[in-house]
Amino acid sequence: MSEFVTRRTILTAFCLASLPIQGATKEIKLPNRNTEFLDNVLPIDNEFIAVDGWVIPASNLVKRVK
Amino acid sequence: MLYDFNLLTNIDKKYDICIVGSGPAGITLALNLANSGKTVLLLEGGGLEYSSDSQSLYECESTGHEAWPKHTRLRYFGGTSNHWSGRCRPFEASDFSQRQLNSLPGWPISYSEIAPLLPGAMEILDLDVSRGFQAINGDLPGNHFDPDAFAKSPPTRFKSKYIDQITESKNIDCFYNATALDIRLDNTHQIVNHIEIANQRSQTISAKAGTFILCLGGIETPRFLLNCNKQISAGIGNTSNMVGRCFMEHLNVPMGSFLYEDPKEFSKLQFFTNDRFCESSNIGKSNVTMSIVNSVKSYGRTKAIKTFFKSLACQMQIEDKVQFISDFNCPGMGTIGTLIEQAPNLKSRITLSEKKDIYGLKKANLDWQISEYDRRTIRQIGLSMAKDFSKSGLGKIRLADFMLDTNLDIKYGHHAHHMGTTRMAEDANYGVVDRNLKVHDLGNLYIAGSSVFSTGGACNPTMPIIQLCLRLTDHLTRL
Repeated sequence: MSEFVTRRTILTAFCLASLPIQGATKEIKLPNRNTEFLDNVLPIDNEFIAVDGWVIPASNLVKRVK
Repeated sequence: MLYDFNLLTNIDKKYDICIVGSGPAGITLALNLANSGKTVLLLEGGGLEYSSDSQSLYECESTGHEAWPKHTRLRYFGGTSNHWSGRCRPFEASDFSQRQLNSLPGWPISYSEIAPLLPGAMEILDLDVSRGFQAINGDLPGNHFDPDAFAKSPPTRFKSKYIDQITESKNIDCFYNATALDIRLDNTHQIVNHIEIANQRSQTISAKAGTFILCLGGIETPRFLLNCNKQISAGIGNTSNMVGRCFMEHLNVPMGSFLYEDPKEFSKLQFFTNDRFCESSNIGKSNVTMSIVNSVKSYGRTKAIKTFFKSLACQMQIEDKVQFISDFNCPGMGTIGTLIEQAPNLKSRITLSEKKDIYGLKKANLDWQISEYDRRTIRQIGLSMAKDFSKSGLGKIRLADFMLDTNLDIKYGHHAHHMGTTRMAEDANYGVVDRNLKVHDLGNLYIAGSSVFSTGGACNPTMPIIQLCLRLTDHLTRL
């Protein structure tokens, strides 16, 4: 095997090639927008929350729920 | 004068000072001590240029977190200054405050003992003393961070800048290709008699001097001392079993990414924790650098192939899904880098491996460990930065999973700053060298370089190394 073609390179190529197949075979779930959103909310303190890792003022959440 | 030790078989002179290692510390000491009238023998294990044979002697084992010690150091004349980036920021008064970290004392000297040496160190590193250290951006709200004030050396390559001065100096004899093998003590075991050195043909001789200074860096210095075990089985300077302990790095934590409200107006942002924040939260210091990625970066032999696949993943917007194969950032992404202070801890250490190099010296084993204090520092800095950045209205930060979930392992890298392994402490139970950089219990053996750092702060170590070398020069010329 050439030194430029590593096992990781082959694995990367395989994973990239299989992504469209993975996408096509994925079960389609209708989102419950508020539930999924709240699952990703992590309170940090009185002022801030993290939504999917984004640290934003908690007041943003209040606006959205309203 | 400059000599190739491969061509010589004897050094019959006894020098005032013998310096082992020709990196920034060794060269600074050699020139300054020679200028004060001392005769100096400067020894460099490598040659005048990079060679893979010499570099291979820096191979070591790693049983802890990986710090890539073979690749981050350079074993030839000028040492690691041959590839340093040149970023300089001095220690602050708070670095020398009397604080205990992981039950270990901090610096036994005060800030005022090295502060006057800053202009001299800046000159050595080709920095503009009148310009000083400047920030590139404004403040953030929140009172946690200040704009980071720093200076950039060209960077100074000690070999190219100082080799002529060393060659022409009447007081310096510099031998390259001269590897130090052993330190030999007198009968009392309190005075170094000579150092045994070998050339690449394995011819060995004794180098004699009144005073010896080891300037071998944060990994080789403890490795050498531990290998010097023919007269004292635990190694030289290791009465308290402290040689090699408290290995510290500066932590490079990929703590997340950010969105900037006005990307067209963005230029790099650099912040530094302020003292009030660190003291009130009982955490270490940190630089936080925010920059926008211009191109996909890849390294190593397969750089071209990796770059192709990474670019493809960026174009398909699937980079998140393939990060398990290789971590990378796509162009346009705002990334956050850090240089975080690691507190000294006894478990993070250099020991000897059972494997030996071609000279019969045992290789180093690096067991790099961070402590709970460091984990708290990392998470506290990330959260505070994210909140302050949001308050500023400049944009928002997305923290990595491990920053928010304490059950996850923190991802961290290194900055090639190897510190603390022969730390300075007044009490020999907590360190290897005293306040004058003299090895405890030995009358004429000194250590210079980042291995003597009691704590590492969050500044690049080259400048404090030079300041401490100037201080050591003063001390030795007054003796």
